[in-house]
Amino acid sequence: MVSNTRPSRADYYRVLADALPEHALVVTALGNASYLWAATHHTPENFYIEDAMGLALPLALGLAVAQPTRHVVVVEGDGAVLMHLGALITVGAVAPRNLTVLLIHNGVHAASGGQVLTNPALDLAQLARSAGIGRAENVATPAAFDQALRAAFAADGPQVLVLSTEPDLDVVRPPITLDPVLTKHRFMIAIGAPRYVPTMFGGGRLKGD
Amino acid sequence: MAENQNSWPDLIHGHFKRVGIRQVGYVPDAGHSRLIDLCKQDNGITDVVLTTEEEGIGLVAGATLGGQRAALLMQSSGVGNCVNMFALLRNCGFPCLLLVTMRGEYAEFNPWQVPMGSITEQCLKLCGFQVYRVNQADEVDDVVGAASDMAFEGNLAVAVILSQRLIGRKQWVR
Repeated sequence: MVSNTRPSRADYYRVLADALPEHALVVTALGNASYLWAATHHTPENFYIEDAMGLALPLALGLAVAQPTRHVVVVEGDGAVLMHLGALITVGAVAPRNLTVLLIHNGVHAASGGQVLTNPALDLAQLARSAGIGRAENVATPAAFDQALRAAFAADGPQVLVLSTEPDLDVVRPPITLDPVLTKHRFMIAIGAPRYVPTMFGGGRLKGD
Repeated sequence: MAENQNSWPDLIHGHFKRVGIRQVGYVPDAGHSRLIDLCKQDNGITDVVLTTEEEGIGLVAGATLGGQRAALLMQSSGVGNCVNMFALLRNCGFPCLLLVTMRGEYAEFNPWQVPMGSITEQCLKLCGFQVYRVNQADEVDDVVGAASDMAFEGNLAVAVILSQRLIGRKQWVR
């Protein structure tokens, strides 16, 4: 019988909430990756993606490039990263110094009921290193995560931390709405991202008037 | 095609600069090669070589969230790869300027390219894009300019189809 010795996602999230640097931005993938993070540490600087699996990494990459003075943390599942493994290679090639990738390694598609992955025992840290991300390690306890995370925030990235995690199949109820447009506006307003101002409302006039 | 300031890729790059594009994602592509080179040489643009086009949708979303404008370059086959990812643009209302070089249409010699090429435009429309088509080099400046303004001032997903007739007939030499 396999003993339940792996930490929970909540164990890791508590460490993340405590260690986050000021002004950090956090991107979370669908399901409990977002729901639990919203329940643990909701701030407007979180962007919750309830959309296609595998999008979290490239989205965090674009964000990290656009906001080079802030730490960007992305929480992605092992199932999602397997769907778009190439994104690790792209992150390795662009190598944004301010990006930390956290991979929840539970070996299953937790959000859809716990179906076992194609290869649940894959060494994802080794895979990340092969993809060109030099700083990548497997983590198995909250204490090790705390140490690795603080080291990651103190050094130049990108880095990948693979978190050995017990699957969490019970769906967490998020305390806030994850409406996509609201989430976008909440995030962009919070970080002061330049916003679209239509010419017609910005004091202009029609040419020829 | 002569590589000069009036070539159509240079005109597109000019619009990138005019509207303030800061990130350009692409999968290496012969039809976009001149434009890709211009972006790589531009210190004001972060060019991101994607392993597959789907990543580009995430890249655009992340750039927008961070306050930067981004464009994507892909071949018509890449549009098919992206269909599920395009939902993110519609869900969140992200602007997107997409430039698509066509295969599988005018003078195509490779039948394998035709199934996707023949549905690219309809596919983009179904996914919520405003779609414009360019057949001639002298249309590029106006159409890409209009598409750029519509994407970023209109806050919309806008695609410009760069036809195989514009790019130039591909020849299979024996």
